[in-house]
Amino acid sequence: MKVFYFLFLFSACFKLKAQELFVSSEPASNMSSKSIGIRLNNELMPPYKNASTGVDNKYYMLRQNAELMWGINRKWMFHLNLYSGTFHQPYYKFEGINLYTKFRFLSNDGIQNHFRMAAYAKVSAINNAIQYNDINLQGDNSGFGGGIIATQLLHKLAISFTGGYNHSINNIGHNLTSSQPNFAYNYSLSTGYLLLPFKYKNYRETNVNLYIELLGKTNPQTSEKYIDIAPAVQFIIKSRMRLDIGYKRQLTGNMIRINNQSFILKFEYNIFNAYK
Amino acid sequence: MKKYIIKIIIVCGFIISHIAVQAQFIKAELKVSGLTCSMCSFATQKQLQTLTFIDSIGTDLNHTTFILSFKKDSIVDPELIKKKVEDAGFSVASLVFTFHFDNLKIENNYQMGYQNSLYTFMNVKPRTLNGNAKIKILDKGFVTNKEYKKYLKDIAAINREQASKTQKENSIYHITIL
Repeated sequence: MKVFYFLFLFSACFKLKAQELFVSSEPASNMSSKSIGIRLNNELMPPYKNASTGVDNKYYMLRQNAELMWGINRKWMFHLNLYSGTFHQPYYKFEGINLYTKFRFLSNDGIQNHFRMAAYAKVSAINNAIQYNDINLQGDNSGFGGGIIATQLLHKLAISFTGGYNHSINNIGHNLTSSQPNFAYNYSLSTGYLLLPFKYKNYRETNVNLYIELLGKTNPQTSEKYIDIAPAVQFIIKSRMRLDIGYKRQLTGNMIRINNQSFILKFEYNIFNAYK
Repeated sequence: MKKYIIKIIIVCGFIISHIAVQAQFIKAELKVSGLTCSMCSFATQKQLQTLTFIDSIGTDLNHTTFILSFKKDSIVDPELIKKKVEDAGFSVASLVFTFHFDNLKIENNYQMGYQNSLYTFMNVKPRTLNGNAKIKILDKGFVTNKEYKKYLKDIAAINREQASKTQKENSIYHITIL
């Protein structure tokens, strides 16, 4: 409840327009039919030592992923992710793939508001060593998952909730141990605002958006959990490119995870009506 | 013989009332709901550009309105305009055509056949239209769901009344004059 209050105050103070192109989560809205998008995502983690969980990573670690996005029709889209990086070993290597699909099943549009809901599913095949208890199908764990997204745009406030389930299986070449959890729940609350321009003039004008997201995960088997806060600034360039600069930091938690903070840099290019 | 003459008169009457209408599309104002960023507007514009009957698209980004102008002598299909907006992931909030009329007498329930569609007038006072007038489509998907609920009963009543008269292959729209 405090979070809602905080977000409401945030929106009231800035009197900004709502945005829902979230940096660390997906909105319930889909991409345009027959369009294709390409994303290059970079995540950088500084050295991290945690006495209570025993994690001691002495170097900067990088993960990069190329993401191909495809809007099949107005309701249905696919993402294909390829991961590589140094998160699990001191050298750069290819880590595996992830397939994500999202189906928008509810859309209630008004003039200045909309409410949309979507369901998503994902599956991943990853070859990393399983060293941590943070089940992450985006590069760390092989497995499958799914969930629900609800996005509400209400005048100046865009707010989106995601709730999902993640099931991990043995990674390629690396097995789960009996002490490691094999499922987790994820949940997030995201909000975004249009900072610039105050008044649209044309499609070439750069838009600047601000986001704050809360990202949580719970492992019921090991009673571990965390909640991260992820602020980000986003530039929409020529109405087809997107540059996201973000930071993610743990607010609270006790999970054995790679790091409690990371820097995020994303670049996206969209081709509308990519084919007939 | 008498039967044939009556049949011919009925057929001629039908053709005249449904095809030979003195009217023409000039342009349309398309308001889209759900648009929140320039990327969304651009995606919608790109979808609309694929329609062969559209000549040019002007944009008012602040009001999320597109001004559509049409190619001369092309057949304008409102259903396709709606489909393209929905393909971009959004909804039509209103679609208002500027029509050029040439002495057309209208009243409630008057059916105007134009191009491949039938346009039924609603919520209008009997009058003669001359020159440019703005007509708004009131059917589902052409206005917000909230607004459509206001017209739902009237449209259903008209449809019941005219079910016997209209041909199934035509698109049927319910319109009013702004």
